[in-house]
Amino acid sequence: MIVYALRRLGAIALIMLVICAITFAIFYLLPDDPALDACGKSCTSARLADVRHAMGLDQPVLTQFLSYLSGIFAGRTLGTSGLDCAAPCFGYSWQYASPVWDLLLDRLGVSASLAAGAAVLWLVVGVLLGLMAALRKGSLLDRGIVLSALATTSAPVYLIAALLIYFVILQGELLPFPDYQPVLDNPAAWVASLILPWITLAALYAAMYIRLTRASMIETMAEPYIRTARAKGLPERTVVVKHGLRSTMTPILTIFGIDLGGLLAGAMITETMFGLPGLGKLTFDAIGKSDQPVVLGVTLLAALFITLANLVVDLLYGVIDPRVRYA
Amino acid sequence: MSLLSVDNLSVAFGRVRVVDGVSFSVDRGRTLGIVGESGSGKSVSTLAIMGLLRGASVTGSVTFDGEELVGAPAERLRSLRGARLSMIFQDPLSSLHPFYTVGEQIAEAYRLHKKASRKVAHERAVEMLGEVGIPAPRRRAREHPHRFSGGMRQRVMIAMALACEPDLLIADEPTTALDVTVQAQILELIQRLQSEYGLGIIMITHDLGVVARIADDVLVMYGGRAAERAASARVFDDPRHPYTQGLLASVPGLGRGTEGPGGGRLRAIPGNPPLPSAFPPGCRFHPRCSVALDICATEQPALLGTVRQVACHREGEL
Amino acid sequence: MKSVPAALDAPTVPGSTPLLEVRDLAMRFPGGVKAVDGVGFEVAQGETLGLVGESGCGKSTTGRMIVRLLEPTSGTVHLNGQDITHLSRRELLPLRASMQMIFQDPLSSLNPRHTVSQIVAGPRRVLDRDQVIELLERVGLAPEHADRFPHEFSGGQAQRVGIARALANGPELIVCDEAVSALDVSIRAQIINLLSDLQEERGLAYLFIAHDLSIVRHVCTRVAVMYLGRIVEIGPVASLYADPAHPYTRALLSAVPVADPRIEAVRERIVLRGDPPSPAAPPPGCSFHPRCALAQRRCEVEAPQLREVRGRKVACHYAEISG
Repeated sequence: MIVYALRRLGAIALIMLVICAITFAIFYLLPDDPALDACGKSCTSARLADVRHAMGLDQPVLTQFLSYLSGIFAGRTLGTSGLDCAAPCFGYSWQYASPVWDLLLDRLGVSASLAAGAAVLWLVVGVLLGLMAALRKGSLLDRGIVLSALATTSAPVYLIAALLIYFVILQGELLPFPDYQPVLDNPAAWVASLILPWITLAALYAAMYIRLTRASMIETMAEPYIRTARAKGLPERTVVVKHGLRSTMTPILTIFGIDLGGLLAGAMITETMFGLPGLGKLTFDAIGKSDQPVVLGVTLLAALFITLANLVVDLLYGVIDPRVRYA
Repeated sequence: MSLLSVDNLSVAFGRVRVVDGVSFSVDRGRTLGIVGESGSGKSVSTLAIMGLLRGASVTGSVTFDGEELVGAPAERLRSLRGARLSMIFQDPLSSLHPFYTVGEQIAEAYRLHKKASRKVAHERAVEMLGEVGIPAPRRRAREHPHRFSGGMRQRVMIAMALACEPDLLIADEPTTALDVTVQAQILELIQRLQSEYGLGIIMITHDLGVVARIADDVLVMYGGRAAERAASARVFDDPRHPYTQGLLASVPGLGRGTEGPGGGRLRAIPGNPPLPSAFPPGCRFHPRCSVALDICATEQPALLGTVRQVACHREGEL
Repeated sequence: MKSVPAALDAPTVPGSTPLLEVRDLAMRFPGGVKAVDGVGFEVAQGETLGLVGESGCGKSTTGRMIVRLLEPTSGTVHLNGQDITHLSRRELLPLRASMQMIFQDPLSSLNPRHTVSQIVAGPRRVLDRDQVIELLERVGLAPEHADRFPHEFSGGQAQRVGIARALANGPELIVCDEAVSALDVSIRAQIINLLSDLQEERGLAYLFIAHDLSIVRHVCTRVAVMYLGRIVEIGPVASLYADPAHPYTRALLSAVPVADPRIEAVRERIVLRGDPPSPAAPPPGCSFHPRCALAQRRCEVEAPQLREVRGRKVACHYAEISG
């Protein structure tokens, strides 16, 4: 299993390199010129050339790419500007006048808080409702749950967010507008600032997990080994929880790992709607301002989280399902 | 008094009556073979006895050791299942939970019904694995079902079913998915355990050879009803129902009838077994029956007789 | 089905070419699993050869190699004298007509999106509608079945469609891979009768792959018994069933329950111990020796070759004392 994990880590490094190269190439091919933005309004062609030189943009693309890569591990000095960017250097945001890595670190806490809270919420709600629907398949309760799940899935995130903001914050004045505080500084404010974003994000995912759990549970409960468990005279609760749920959770775990991995790199719409200074908001702003180093950094971070989450899920699979062998 | 006696059992799913007024009984130490094709209701009848049918309406009477099971509280049936009434199934791989070791799965029922500790139950599981002929039972108890061969898995199922020393074992096509040499091993095992434990056995199968091999009594089912019921030797020697006759003639026998090669054509029954949603009126076999009369299409024949019971309007004349 | 006189394992008239000739056929799957290990036999025109054995013995793999659904690792397959072992798909196309296969699960082997008439006529529409209907009627279906889809049929009817599809091109050889195993007892007899009638009418040859020994006895002229990728005994049905020479054949035959309680009560039964070993790790020497009552030291080291014993071929060092 250790050999397997190491081999997978090697593969992840390779995937990251490829993603890095592709993203880099896309930005290089885009007509958008970061130097032009940095140059300012009264930009002359001579000044532009200076800026380009200072930013290192006049180098061949391969050189730029290699220096970006080596910067991640060894740090570098950006172009001729004299700006130092310590390892791990994911480039420098001219908009924020800050190394990208510092920006990412700064925002990661917000996104992780959002993702973790929402994940707990949607997992509990989604799996519980999905189970209830599956066990009472065809009943009014089942139809109600499936219908609300469907309605929620089709509602766009910004609609849910806007409704919550309107009714809870503006009309109901039950909560202040989110003002994010780190959990260690002020736990109460942390919860207060995140509760609506959690609900918004969890609503969408819970709806998906309800349908997933329901389908998976219905399939499991039709398995012959469930019949065996009943033939042994086990109480129905044991049949459902010990024999049914364990198999049902296997496919859900896979999706959960990948969803969570993706969300750690930011929930763009939710964060933007609630003004949470997370990675999603950072990305949203960076795209608007063509802050390419930031977008590149977030892309890589997201890719890393997703591939790592995948690996964790695959390793967990072996713990859950004894038939899985690592080779 | 019989260990299990089933009287006029009917099972319906909604408006579809899958089993219609079937009666039979099993004594301790005896084996009843239930034979039939798909849709005959043979599996459904036994699942109904076990209380394992969900969403079905079950009527009639099932008396187990003097106790009425039809209409008994679900909790009472549950406490009998696995303890005094056990069941094994056709496909032992999918009938075992893939995530738990075989030892855990055998011990589970024992712990529940005998209120045994984890340790005692595990010891019982190891003992049962040895009993059903699995080599190195202590080590094998800690392995998962996918590490066992088909025959070994069926042995595990048998160990699980017999761990609490039940009175009745229902075996639903237990050897259909197995190779013949393995089938022979499993049948031998079942017979040995029967004489050891004094088990009553219901063996559901479509294989007439298996019935001839281990059944004392035979119930032939067709279209959710009993067609013929008698001691095994009688049924095979002198089948009375046209369906039983047809079934026996459909099987090219190794020892019977067709001596030497060149058996020629088999006497096949024309048509298909009916689906429960479209059982024909009258005698359900009449559309496929070569000796059917007009009355067969309209009137259901009663199951008549004492030592041998046959449900056919022409019983006695043919 | 028994029109050809039973001869040895070479049923053909001397000098003439057998319809199918298989020599030293072997299939090695990735990981070194020898699914089939040097199998050879012949099938004459209009004959039925049974291929029996338990799961994992390689009988289905052999059938698939013959119709070239699988490419053999080594050995040859000759059809009407032509070596078809390594023909490309394109070269194989004209030969597909003379060689067809029927499968165990008729429903999953028929394209669910095609009507029966499309399935029977085939992708290149070798038959027009009238011919399709004629063929359907021949296999016991009604003309109105032509426009239905496979899922509307019962197992027995679907197998009839499968047979019609196989017949469409006018084959000489049909490989029946457990073709009646999944069917109800009464339906099984109907399909066996149909296959037997078609054989008489059209001079078809069958390679009848099955695990049910009583059906094989009824249907076949000769039979080959496989164990762990090899043929252990091959010969005419009558003598092989009456007096099996290989200990495995004996055990196999004695394990088949007979539908007669009186025979069952007195029968001598050889119950083999253990399971068939995995083809991934076959025992050395004779691969049957760990389960064999006759096994001697020699069997552990030396793999027996097929040789003539009592009018058939047997791969056992001690075939003479068996039986």
